[in-house]
Amino acid sequence: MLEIASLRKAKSRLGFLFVAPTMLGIFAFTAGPILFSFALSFFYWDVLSPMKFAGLSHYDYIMRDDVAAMTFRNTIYFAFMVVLLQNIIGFSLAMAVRNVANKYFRYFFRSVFFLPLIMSGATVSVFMAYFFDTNFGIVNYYLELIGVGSVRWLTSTDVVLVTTVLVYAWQHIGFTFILFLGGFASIPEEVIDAADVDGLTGWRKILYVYIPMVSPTIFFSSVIGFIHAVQVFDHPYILTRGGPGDANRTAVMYIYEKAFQDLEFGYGSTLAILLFIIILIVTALQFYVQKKWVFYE
Amino acid sequence: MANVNLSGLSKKFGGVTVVDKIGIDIEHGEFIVLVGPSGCGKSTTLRMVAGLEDSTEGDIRIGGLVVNYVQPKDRDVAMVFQNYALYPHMNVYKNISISLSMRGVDRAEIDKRVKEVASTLGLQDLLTRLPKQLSGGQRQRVAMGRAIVRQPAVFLFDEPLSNLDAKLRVQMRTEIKKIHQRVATTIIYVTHDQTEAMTLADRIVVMNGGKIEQIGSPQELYDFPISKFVASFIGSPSMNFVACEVVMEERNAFLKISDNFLIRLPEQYSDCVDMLMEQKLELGFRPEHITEPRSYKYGHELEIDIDVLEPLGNDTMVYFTFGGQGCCARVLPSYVSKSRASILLELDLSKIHLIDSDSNLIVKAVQNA
Repeated sequence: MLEIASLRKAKSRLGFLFVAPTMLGIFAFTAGPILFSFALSFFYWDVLSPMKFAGLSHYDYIMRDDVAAMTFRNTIYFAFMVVLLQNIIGFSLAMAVRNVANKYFRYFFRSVFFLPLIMSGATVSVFMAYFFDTNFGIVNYYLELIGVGSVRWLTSTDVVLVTTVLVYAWQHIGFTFILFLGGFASIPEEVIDAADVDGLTGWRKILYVYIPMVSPTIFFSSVIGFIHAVQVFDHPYILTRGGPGDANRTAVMYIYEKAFQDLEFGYGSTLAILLFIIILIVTALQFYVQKKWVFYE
Repeated sequence: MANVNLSGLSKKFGGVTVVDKIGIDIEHGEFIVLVGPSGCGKSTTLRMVAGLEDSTEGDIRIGGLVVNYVQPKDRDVAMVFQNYALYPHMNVYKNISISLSMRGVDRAEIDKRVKEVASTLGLQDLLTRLPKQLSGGQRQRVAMGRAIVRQPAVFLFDEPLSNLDAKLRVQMRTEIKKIHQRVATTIIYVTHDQTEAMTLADRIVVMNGGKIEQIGSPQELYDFPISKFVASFIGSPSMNFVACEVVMEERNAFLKISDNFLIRLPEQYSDCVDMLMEQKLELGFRPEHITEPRSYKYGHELEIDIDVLEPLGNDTMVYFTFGGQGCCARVLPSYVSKSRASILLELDLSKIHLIDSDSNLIVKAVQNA
């Protein structure tokens, strides 16, 4: 008995040894910075002078900061729109590609739709800025050609955030597209055949068969998509530097500006903690609601 | 119910012909089984009838109407799949009722029909369960319920019992037979199991390599196969085949088995001796037609050395070598014992078949053609 106990202890010591590097990494690069950031939110600190205890004054100021309110509103709107668009378009593209009979065309479309994902957000934003230019952009060229007229994609406060949504979604649709392709591949062909025979065709097949059966994929892409989208920085920054006004300014941009441009690290940390809490709440809500609509086999 | 007619039906995948110009006429209310080895085209044929595959050539008629370009949902067919194909996210009630909902049937009527079918199939206590909470047999009954509730003109079964264990398979076979007796709807049933085919079918269609080998009642196929393939496929264990030739000895015709064993040529071949002498032949006989001596009217006794004994309870299968080939006989358990190395068997010559080795057709069929 003593031998078994000592063997067990030796095994768990060995286990800790294997897990230790990862744990160190997580603490050093994830948990540690989060805790430091949380602690920093109670201090005034501009790097150049010593830290001064601020108590809850940063949290109090956030409630009165109109720019913070604007940026967080923009961010939530942006994230929800992006998740919706990515899921709808990714789903539709995956359905369309799945039904292409020629396998070489399927391979081609799979690569083409996934390609933007491997580009950097900065690169995509740079050429998209040209595409959406009000005077010289190709998008307005074609809109005028079909009689719609040009749109101030990057210079109108009403439209600029939508433009950023489109640019970001265009780049990231490949992610949901690949997820849904995988999801559809896991649906047994016989179930699709049974649906055809039972009269579940067209939109009914999508509603009653495909969507329920890929609901775990939809849930996963929504959770991951939201968490990523809420942290967007490079697209709005490169497209318009957050303008016009604050119409295209996101939470992470504001955190960056406060911390690294205004050297208000304490307040920047407070904003970051608030963003963290929002992500936590939304994700928790998603997990709670998933019991009602996500089907796991 | 409706009749079903397939004429000149073919299916090609690229350069590969999977179904080759087949023609079948299925009467109202008939239970027809398509049987054959894997890859013979039986499931593809069924899928073409269902509308899940397009045909390359030929017509499919259901109730006299050509349905080649009609969608599966409009053909008035219901299908039961090998892997059940239940909607995993719907409970049993919803799985059974969904097709009626899609057709706009009244809710009260749906409820009535679902409960009727559930009661018939013993599913009344399972209506709120999901498929993952059911056993294989229960899932298959739900799949059948889903088909029955639609009251279609034609039922299509695609190897529905393949995934069940042996005991359950026998039970479900009986259920399917009872359903056919109750609803008397035309059924097209696909299986690779010849026992299922023999027990269920009004008529059997034996397929091989995309073509139809023979169509007939189970007894016809058993007693009068027209080819070596049908003869070997129908019957379990399968028919024994031994090379032979017809020779004349003292003005009598004999079958000479390759190791100088002579059997008097049976009466039914007496009018074609000359033709038979010119052919390369095989002698075919079923294990149940070579038994312990029973004084058959036209019998031939032979002493054999036992290779293997397989006791099955009600019978014992005796494996032996004859004419250089491994053969099998069915005897009473009391006739053999492990201590015996050789036994006397009697072959019922009225039940043998002669096969032309070049065409693989049963000789009587060649003669009649």
